[in-house]
Amino acid sequence: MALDLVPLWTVLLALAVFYYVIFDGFDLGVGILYGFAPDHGSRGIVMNSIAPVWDGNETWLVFGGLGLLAAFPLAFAIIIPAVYFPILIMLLSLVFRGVAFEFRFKRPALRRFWDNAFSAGSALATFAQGVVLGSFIQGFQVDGRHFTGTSFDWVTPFALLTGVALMFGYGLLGAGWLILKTEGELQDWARSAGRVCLAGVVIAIIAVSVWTPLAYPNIEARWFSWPNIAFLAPVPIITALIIIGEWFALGRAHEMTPFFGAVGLFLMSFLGIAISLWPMIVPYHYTLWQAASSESTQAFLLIGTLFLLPVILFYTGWSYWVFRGKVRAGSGYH
Amino acid sequence: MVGIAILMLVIVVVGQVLLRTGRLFRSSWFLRLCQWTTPIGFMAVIAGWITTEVGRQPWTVYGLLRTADSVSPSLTATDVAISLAFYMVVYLIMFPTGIAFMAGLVRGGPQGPETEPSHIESGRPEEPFEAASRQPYSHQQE
Repeated sequence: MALDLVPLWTVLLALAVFYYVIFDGFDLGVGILYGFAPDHGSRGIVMNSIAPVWDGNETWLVFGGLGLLAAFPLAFAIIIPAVYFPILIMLLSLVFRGVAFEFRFKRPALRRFWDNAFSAGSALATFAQGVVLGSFIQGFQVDGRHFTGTSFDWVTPFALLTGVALMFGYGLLGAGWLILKTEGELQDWARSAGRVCLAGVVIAIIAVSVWTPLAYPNIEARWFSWPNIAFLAPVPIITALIIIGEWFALGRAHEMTPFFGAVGLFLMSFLGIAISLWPMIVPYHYTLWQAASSESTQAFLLIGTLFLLPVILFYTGWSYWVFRGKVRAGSGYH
Repeated sequence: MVGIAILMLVIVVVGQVLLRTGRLFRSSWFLRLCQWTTPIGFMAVIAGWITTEVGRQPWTVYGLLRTADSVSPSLTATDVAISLAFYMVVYLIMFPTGIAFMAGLVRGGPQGPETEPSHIESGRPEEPFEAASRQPYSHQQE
């Protein structure tokens, strides 16, 4: 076959990462907000709002990670050792978060421990993911086909900033989800929490958008040279409009808008990063085509993926449909 | 590992035979056998992993890539030791917690038939640990 499958796999991988960020974003965000929930009863409702769906959300992470390994192995081999410790921290935090779901209800004597495990696990996992993102944007030290940095290269101010930024971002998604799934006092609390997170997100977007072009001249050239600046101007303009709309939607009685506004913000940020880094998959050394596995490998993987992906999308949609509607106190979802 | 799999298969077949002939709940030797073979699943999995990982050495890709050549250049022994320590801490918290919980369920004993049905809204049947935890042992409910 003379077909170039790299663009297709890029799209699949981008979708996997985006779906992961949205789906696990809101349940990690709910976990972060959980730590600030007003009382015990509302904590139960908050946890029940994501209890039936959170498991399936993490499958997108597996798809994204293994898609990277299988379709772009050089990128995997360079990136993953560079972010060894953030990924380790993320995995172990997710362990605590996952177990906390079940054990919080079953062992009332240890409830406070599992409450903390749930919120701290969610927060730490989010922070770790943000650090990975920041390290990715910063790029990696590469010599030939090897990563030549150390396992602590991710400890930089920029990466720590993106770590905190992602916590606010996921918090906004989580707040949007809680607005959808709760009512009354708890929903009002979610709205005010959402506004705090939105403020954090705005600061973060501005900081990253200013920092990246200043630090990387090639990105500055891509965004600010003519005629690029005309083509790319819609991205920040739309982002600003979404932010303004989101602020008001959080205040009014809109139920669906806050969540989808947050999704829109993530989409814009994602596009911004993609525009900055295209076509690099290992910034700033290897392009997508250079890091790709052989054509036959990608074709082989594609067959399985094209069969399974609709199945996954179907059951995901179905599970959200089954558990639609508001969460009421006293209903168990285990 | 394979031996354990065959043993498990034999137990299943014997259990089926006893069930069909109505002797399953009265044959104490079989029930005692089931009780003693509870952990063999864990043993089989660990034995299998040890077999594959040790037997594979010194190759990562048999005949083509040695394990020594597949190490990430940036990863030092210290890094791996730190991550291993983290894993150990997490497992040392999780496993005793899980085992203590299971022990508590077992100590509580099986449910009698007269307990009322659960109030799960979606109409799904209860999961076993949930049914078992509606009991004197779990002294507080949500």
